[in-house]
Amino acid sequence: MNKSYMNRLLKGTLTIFSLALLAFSQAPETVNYKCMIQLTNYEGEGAYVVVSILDGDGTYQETLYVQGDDAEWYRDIEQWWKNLYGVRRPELDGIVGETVAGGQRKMTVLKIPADKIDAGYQLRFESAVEDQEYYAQDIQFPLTTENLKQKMEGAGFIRYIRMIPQAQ
Amino acid sequence: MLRNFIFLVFFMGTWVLCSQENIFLQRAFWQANPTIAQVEAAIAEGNDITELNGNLFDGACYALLENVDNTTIQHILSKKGNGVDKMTHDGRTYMFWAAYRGNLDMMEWLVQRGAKCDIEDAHGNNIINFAANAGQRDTALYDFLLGHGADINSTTRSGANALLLVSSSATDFNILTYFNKKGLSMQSVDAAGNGIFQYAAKGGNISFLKDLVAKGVATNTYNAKGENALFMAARGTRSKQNHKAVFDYLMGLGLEPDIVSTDGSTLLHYLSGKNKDVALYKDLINSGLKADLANKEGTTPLMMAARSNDLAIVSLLASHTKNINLQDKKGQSALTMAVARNEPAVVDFLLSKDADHTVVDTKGNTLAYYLVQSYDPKKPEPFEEKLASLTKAGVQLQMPQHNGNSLLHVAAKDNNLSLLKRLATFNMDINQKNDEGNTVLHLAAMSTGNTEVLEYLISQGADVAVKTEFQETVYDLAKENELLQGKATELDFLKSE
Repeated sequence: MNKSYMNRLLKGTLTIFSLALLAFSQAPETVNYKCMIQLTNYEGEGAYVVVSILDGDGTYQETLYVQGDDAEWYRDIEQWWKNLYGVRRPELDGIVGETVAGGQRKMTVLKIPADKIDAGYQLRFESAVEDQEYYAQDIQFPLTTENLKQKMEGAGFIRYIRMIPQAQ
Repeated sequence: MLRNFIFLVFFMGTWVLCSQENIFLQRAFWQANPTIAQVEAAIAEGNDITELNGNLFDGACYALLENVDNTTIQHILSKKGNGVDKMTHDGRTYMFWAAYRGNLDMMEWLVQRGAKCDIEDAHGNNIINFAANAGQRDTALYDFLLGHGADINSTTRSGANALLLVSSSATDFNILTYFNKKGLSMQSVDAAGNGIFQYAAKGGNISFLKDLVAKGVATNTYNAKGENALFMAARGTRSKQNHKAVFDYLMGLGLEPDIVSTDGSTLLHYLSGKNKDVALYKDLINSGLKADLANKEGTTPLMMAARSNDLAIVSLLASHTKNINLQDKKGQSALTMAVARNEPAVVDFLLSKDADHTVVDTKGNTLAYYLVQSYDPKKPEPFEEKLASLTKAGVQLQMPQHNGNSLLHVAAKDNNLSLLKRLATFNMDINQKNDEGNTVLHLAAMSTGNTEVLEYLISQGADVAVKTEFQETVYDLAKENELLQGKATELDFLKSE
């Protein structure tokens, strides 16, 4: 076995190993929850809703879902805009849905990182409607397995949400 | 007897009209410059002087916009529910509309009653910038705003200050000099790098452009998107599109027309939505611009014209387009856009050029979806004409749309009873579930503010016993609908046993 072959073999192994590591660190294991967001029957345009994971100090960790596909209105979700989207412009591909009108409901699938469940994090639903109020905490609760089974009542444009774990 | 009958019909006709349409939300009422007595008479007839329409305009907004006498406006604004902080269209108070019309007397009146001058609308415009963009050039108006807390350095979300914005309507240097003295630089640029010359090009006043050139203002510069002043001229303003002469003048200064911006757009993309100057298009196409070039959104100039321009422009661009069936990133073709927004003649024209009537957008909506979205019960003729053309071409109304919705689901979501009735003749299954497990009756129970639409659907065979995938009955959904609250007993007809 010559030396260059050994080098190549070593390099190849290292590459595969580091790729595997990269893949692992980029895509942590997620648990899928089917999430139904039921809006109250307010008058006005479709509500923009953003679902985020916050840590124990209230710092934004991750955006799970954005209801509303016109980025022009993202500023209306003030805290998310000021602390996350307006500053870092994270990629939202695949997690954006269209708005629905007052009284209607929306089904989506939230991919929740398994390591953030029962680990001191919060799940926040922010909402805003054009020319109307903004609710920083329309719904917010500790991200625990128990809470993910409950029907959660909203304080703003969201009447309630329900979640069902999906078969993996 | 006959006379009585005619009187009765006439009387009922006006009564129905009044009960449906608040006269204060009709611009014609304000265009006639009503007196206080006329306003009071209309209030006595039951019209609501504080009601906001769907776009959040109220009577007072329209009175300001139509330059009604200030005595009448002041009377309206003294009504409870029309306070100086009332939020109207795009998050604007009455101060914005008064400034928009240059009505300094009303601005002073409002400020005496506590109105603020240092606020922004929902698009991030402060009142100075809103007035400047509207073309107000009265320096007394700006003196007043600046004297009451407005910030001269405030910019729009595009980074434009008042000096740049007013350049689109300026006819001489007076107003620019004024803003310059108040602290805004003549070298100001917006976030994209557009300066005075670009904003003046937008307004298209050739003699003012010549004045700028004489002053030595740079003309042939590019903004961050790689666009020169021709692009701003192509945008035009909200109220005015520029004629070929403006473009000829700018090209005479050496500005190149055949530029593609960083988002893949050419001058034709900016022109084709609104500009109707056929000679201008011909000239640009001759100089090499492509009528079928897709920008980064996948939009071609033909699509923009098909959405909102005249048949003359659509047919000109179509004659220079190889494939009229291109779709943008949302999956919409030129025909999709014409069905959704434009006149029946444009739809017919595109169909005559073999536009594909089976086009489906990325969400799964067919042309039938866009057709019903365009339904206006007050003006049904365009809908009926487009429906006839599309049916003849082979469009199926029974095909499922996005999310497995039928057209009945689409109508029920919008709580659109007249559309549901119009669709009744097309033999659609009223009890079909969409992909989320909801029937038309489920969606109607969630959306409606009265029981009429529910009674109608049941009369058409909608089944009250069907449950959602969360095991909710139609009754459950109606009971938690805030708009139906206090009507619990009236909902008993929804119970299945």
